[in-house]
Amino acid sequence: MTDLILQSLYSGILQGGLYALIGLGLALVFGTMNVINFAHGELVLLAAYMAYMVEAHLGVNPIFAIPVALVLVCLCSALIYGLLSLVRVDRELNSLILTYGVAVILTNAILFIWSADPHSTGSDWLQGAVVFGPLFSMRGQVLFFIVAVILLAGLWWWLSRSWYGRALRAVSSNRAAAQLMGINPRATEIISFLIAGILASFAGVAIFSYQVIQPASGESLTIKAFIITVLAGMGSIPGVLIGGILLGLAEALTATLGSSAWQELVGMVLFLLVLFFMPNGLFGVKARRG
Amino acid sequence: MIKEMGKLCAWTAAAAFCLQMGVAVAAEIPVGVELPLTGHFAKQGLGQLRGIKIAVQAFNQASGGKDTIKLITIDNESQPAKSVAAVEKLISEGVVAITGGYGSNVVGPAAQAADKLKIPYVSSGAIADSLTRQGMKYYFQILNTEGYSVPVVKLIDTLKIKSVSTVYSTAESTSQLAKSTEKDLAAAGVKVMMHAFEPSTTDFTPIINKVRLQDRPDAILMVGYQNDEIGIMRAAKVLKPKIKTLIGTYEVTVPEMVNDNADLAQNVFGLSLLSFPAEFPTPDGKVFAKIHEDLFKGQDFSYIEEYGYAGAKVLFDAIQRVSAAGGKPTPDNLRAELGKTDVDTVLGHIRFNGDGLNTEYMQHIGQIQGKKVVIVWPDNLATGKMVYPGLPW
Repeated sequence: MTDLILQSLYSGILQGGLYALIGLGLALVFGTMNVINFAHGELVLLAAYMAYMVEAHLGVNPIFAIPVALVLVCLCSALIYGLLSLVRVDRELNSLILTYGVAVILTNAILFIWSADPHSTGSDWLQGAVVFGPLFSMRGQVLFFIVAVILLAGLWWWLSRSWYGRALRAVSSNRAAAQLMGINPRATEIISFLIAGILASFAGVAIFSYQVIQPASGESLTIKAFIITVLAGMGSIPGVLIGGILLGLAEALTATLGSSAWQELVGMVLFLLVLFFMPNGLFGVKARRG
Repeated sequence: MIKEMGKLCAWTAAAAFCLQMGVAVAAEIPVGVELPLTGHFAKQGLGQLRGIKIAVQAFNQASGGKDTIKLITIDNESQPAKSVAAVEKLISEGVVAITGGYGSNVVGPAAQAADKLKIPYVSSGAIADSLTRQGMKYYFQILNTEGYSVPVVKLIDTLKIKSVSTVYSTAESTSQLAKSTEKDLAAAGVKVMMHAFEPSTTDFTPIINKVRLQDRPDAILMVGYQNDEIGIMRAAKVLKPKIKTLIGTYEVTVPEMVNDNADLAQNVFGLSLLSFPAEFPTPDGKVFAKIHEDLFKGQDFSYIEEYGYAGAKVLFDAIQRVSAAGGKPTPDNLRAELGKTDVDTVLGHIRFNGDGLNTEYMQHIGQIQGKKVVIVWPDNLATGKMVYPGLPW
């Protein structure tokens, strides 16, 4: 039983790292602009398909797709920002509709270009087993967990130490006041979209490296990202990592101690409990002040 | 002037007569298709649509231009509510019958809607037998649960496997198949351990670890779709449980798996009607293969296409019989003709019972060996010998 629980915790942590990577981009944009980007999952998926293209056509490890994915996904992210900036009235609601529309277009474009067949990496290196005593995982899982932690730490450092990071946080807490301080809110907003694109690129390549992709996967990725954003609370980078890991652990432990069929349910119950008892999230602004 | 007018009238009347004759001679019969062309079942829906197009081509060629089928296709987006809307829209456009549908939970509401509006619906992508026990009079189902569970049970019996861990998706058709197999295996004295998972599950490590440490079975039976099965096989390859074989159900022994994941799925068994590279010994199979080559040159064959083809063929045969008897296809006479179906198709023989269920459907068992899918059961259709014990690692 101990081995079972240990493996479950290990799998949950690794899965949580990926969830955090997926969720952080959405959380960042939400924090800066109060916009839920419903196309975020599709951006992650687009990066995953770039990894598939690079592996299928060039025959190289999908990790080498990261530069290609970065260019394409950041471009798409900037385009979404361009569209959002045209919204002048009722921004929160209209941006939901707009990004949902973009998500539908992206899903169908992916379906049209790459067909509906599921794809996953054929790389033996990424699928190879990494064993630490009683703990088993794929090499790709460990690699991208480390990448996720590094990216999250880097982003946390950038947000708290750099001028642009502070500007972004300032816009996030009070757009008008930040503007009075000489910060260009549009510049910081587009930076947050580009960073979300960078994070989505890494998350997409990670997903292709040890999971299966198909055109309909984008929606569930967005939902996961949204749950993590709510769990973490606005403006907390460590909160996103902890929220992701919490969700990963809850799912893995449910599968081990109960049934995998309850995984989604447990994730949703966790989400509702946090909403009910801590509306600002586990590490939201109010909680941190308190 | 009056003479010119008279000529014009005569020409107009002649043209109208010819047109009318034309309509009488070559009728265009509108048939509805509702399929998941986007969403989670898009892969299957698009495959079925290719099969239906092959059946249309076969029908139109055979009729020699007398009657032609006009397809009206609507995407149900893999959603039950959208499938109902699709059926209602198709009926409002005057279709005489509907074919298609994938996934029992999506087909069910669509079939109910068609039945309520008294339009025949031939499903080639639902396997839950329960759909045919809901008192619908206009619903006909090509596939059935036994057609999937019996080959799996026979394989396990042939291999003398004593215990099985079934890892299955909670989707309607997969859970029904898993439970049906569990019942049959238990009756045959095989110990069965069941592990359900949500269709959105991506990490199967915790489940396979339970199988490895707690169940310790002779075999793992995977009842899910291709993306699930890839996830299960990956987790198994990492954890290496001490089993003798892995058995899949849907979409394991298919060309995409051989082309993209042959190493991962090496020696894995799966349900399959086709070997790979595909061979078509039956007359209907040869027709299917010929038109497939004409329409979709260079694309691999898939049994999903055969489903779409067989469902449409059964419907078009009924239309042809009505026309041959001098009638005009209507929902009621088509329903009556569908009930009399008794035909050999690329899927095997098709005959419906009183509930509209094709009781003759039976899958085969294939095994991925190298870069091929070898049919290993039933013996009379086997294209090679099975490898057992055999694992991908």
